Order: sequence, then structure tokens, then C-alpha cells
Amino acid sequence: MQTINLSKILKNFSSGWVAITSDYKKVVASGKTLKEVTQKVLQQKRDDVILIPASKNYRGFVV
Amino acid sequence: MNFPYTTLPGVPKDTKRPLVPIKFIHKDKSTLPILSLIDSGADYSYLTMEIAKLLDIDLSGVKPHTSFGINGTPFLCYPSEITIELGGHHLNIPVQFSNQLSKAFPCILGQEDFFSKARITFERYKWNLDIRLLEK
Repeated sequence: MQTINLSKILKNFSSGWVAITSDYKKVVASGKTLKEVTQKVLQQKRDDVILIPASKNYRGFVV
Repeated sequence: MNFPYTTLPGVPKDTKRPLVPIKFIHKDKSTLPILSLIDSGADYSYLTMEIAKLLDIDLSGVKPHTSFGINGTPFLCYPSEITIELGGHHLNIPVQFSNQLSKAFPCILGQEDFFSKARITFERYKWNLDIRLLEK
């Protein structure tokens, strides 16, 4: 099975939250906090959005 | 329900993780779907305090609990309960809210009780995560 590749569209974000379309192809908003990015998405009246925390490096994490 | 693994930026190279879009719900409020890490190595489910604030979950008066990272580092968290929506299905699970989680993975679904309410099969060899909710 092919993975969902978010490597390219997330590469310009290092912190905060990113909103992407549910087909995982396009960034529609970003923000420092969950509240901020949620408000931006709701203002766009979109219902096809998924949020992801932004990081430069998701590798190496291991309670 | 099958969920493909997600390829994410990593150093020195990209990394693939079992992430699933989940809505977190409390009373009449809900988050947008958030890509959350399915983590069999976590005793509990851990959520950023940002979600508690967004959903107006009152944690005042909740006695904090100490969890420990893999290297033994303690961190404070606040136990609560939440409803999750996964693939159109709803589940109630206990969660631990903390503001000391990794910024890369602020939403982690762990063993108690999530793994008791679903059959979760990690098929990393073919980059697939299979989640089947158990009948009530």
C-alpha cells in the first residue's frame, strides 16, 4: 500500500498547526495554535480539512 | 478500516508513521479531524492541553498524574474522558491532557482503553494500519 506522503507539503512548516485538504494535496491554513488554525478553517467554511501538528523532524520519538 | 501509513519529514530522512484522522468531541463541541499517532507503546492516550481548552473541558480540581517518558523523565498530565470519532464511529476513552508533549505528536492514542475497544493490527510491512472496532 502506498503511504500518504506529507513530506513535501509540510517541509515549509516547523511549528504550530497546518490544515490540509482531506485528499492530502493542499495546505489551506496554518497557525501557531490549534485555536488559530481552527478559526481560519472555519472562516473558509470548508468541511474537507484535516489538521496536523507541524514539525521539522518527526523521526526519533519514543509512557 | 484500513489507514495507510503517513510519510513525514525527518532527519536525516523521512519517516513513516501510523497516523489516523480523529475528531475529539466533548459535549456539543468538536475539533476538526486531527492526524493522531496510534501508539501501542503508550500506556494511555495523551492529548495536548490545547484540545482541552478548545473544547472547554474543565480540568480545575482534577488531580494531576505523573507519567514517564521512555528515559524516565516525568511529566504532568490531567486525566479526563473524551469521545473520539474514528471513521464515522464514536468511542469514549480515558485520556491524559498535558502541555509537556512533543510538538510533533500532540495527539497519541495508547493502550488504555482504546486498544481494548478495537482490534488494531500494525502491518508496517505493507504500510497499512487495520483498525476494527469491537462490538459493544
